[in-house]
Amino acid sequence: MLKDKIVVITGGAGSVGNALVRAFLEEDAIVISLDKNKERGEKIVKQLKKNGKRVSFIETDISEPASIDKAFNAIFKKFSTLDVLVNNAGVFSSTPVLDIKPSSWDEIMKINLRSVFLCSQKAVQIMMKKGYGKIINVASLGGQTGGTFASAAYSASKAGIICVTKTFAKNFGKFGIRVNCVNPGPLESEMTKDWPLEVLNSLKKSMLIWQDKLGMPSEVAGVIVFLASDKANLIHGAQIDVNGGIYIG
Amino acid sequence: MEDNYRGSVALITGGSRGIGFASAKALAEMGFDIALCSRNRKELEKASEEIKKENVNCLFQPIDVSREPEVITFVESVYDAYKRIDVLVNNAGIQLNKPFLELSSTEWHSVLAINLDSYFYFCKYVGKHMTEQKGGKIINISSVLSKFALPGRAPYSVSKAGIEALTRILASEWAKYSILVNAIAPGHVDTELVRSDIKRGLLDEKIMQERGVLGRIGVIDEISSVVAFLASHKASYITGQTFVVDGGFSIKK
Repeated sequence: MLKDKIVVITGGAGSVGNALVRAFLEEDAIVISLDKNKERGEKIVKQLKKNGKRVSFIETDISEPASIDKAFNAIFKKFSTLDVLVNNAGVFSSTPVLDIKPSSWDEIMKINLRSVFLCSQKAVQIMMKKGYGKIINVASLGGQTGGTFASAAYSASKAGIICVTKTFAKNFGKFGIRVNCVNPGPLESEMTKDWPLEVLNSLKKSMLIWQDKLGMPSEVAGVIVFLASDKANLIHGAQIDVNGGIYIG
Repeated sequence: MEDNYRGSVALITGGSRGIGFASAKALAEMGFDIALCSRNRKELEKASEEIKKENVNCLFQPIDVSREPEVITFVESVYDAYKRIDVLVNNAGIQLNKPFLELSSTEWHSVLAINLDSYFYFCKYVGKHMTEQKGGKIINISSVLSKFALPGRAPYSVSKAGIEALTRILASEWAKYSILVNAIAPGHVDTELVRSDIKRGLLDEKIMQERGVLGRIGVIDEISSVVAFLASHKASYITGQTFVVDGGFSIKK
């Protein structure tokens, strides 16, 4: 479905990132994984390379515009093109509303939201020339509903991603670029592994399906791979909710 | 997504042409055995011949989907033949474009009967088997007009909004049986029906194209590919949702 497509995945060393890298390689794409965590990112890539997969890693601090520039320049230099960008990098925060400091608010916005804008800005410039490209942003259920456990900064950053998605879709659809986002519900991942038991249990209870476990990163990755394929060409500016029915808008 | 679905069964309403036929074909390519209904026997025969080329079974029956006894007979005959129904694609529907004050109550009821009552009947009689077999997927075709207003589409839009509400309710009632229920809301799509309305001057192609960010009408295969995705094992953490597949129609406002 995605043979020989050049695919950039931000946050490639995390749980969902790891699942994304594998899912795209499964479709014979050429994958570039960006992450701040060099050790983990390289380890994943090294192992996959041994299995003959076409995948590389670039250490990137997504909160730093210069680091984003450097990564995309390296990608354009090596591949001179880009077909798919998955903006997946992000951090979670559960700081209570009254405890959020301006500096931590700004930090979350930089990592979760500004990075999506800056990476998309880079990507569309090369995609426009080609008249082809797919951008898929990983927002969140929290961006639709606001949070009680999830912090205001986290939820607002994810809501911002939904808006950036629509804005890029409006501006770049006519250049053959498709822009969509997915809103995952809670997943069995590093993000949720330290969450308090009562939070996890109440989430599981409010899930329509299963009620005894959360979703898997691979289940979100599968949807993103579909959105990156030409089978989803008529889906544009959309939000795809992948949440086990926990929220039905 | 290829060929992992041998022995699974998909029932598609309005399956002899347009989005329904393309969906049936896409599911047949995945290995599903197929059951089709529509009003026209000749078209069904032709569609069935096409589908059998994928080396799957295909059975069909001409019925009026707005008549409950006909739906029951058809669903039971499908179940008797295949002993299971894994995927239901509710797709049958009609359009009516008329100023509200000119609508007769007969017209209002006939659109709701075909577009909404038929979804109720099929969900009920197929759902009965799905709850017993503890699994299944229902994919309801709705429309972006469930949320956006175009003058003259009152019964059509109301029926489509009803379909999305039904989708959410059934997702919540049947999740415990591992039945996932989702909807697809297409924007304008280049079906035979739409094409003939354009030719007859009932629809303006240029206006339709400009309603989406992409500046074009969708093609049938762009909807059936989403049906195929939702019917696949990959769509395992999605239920109660409406996939908007409209080329940016709904973000253009």
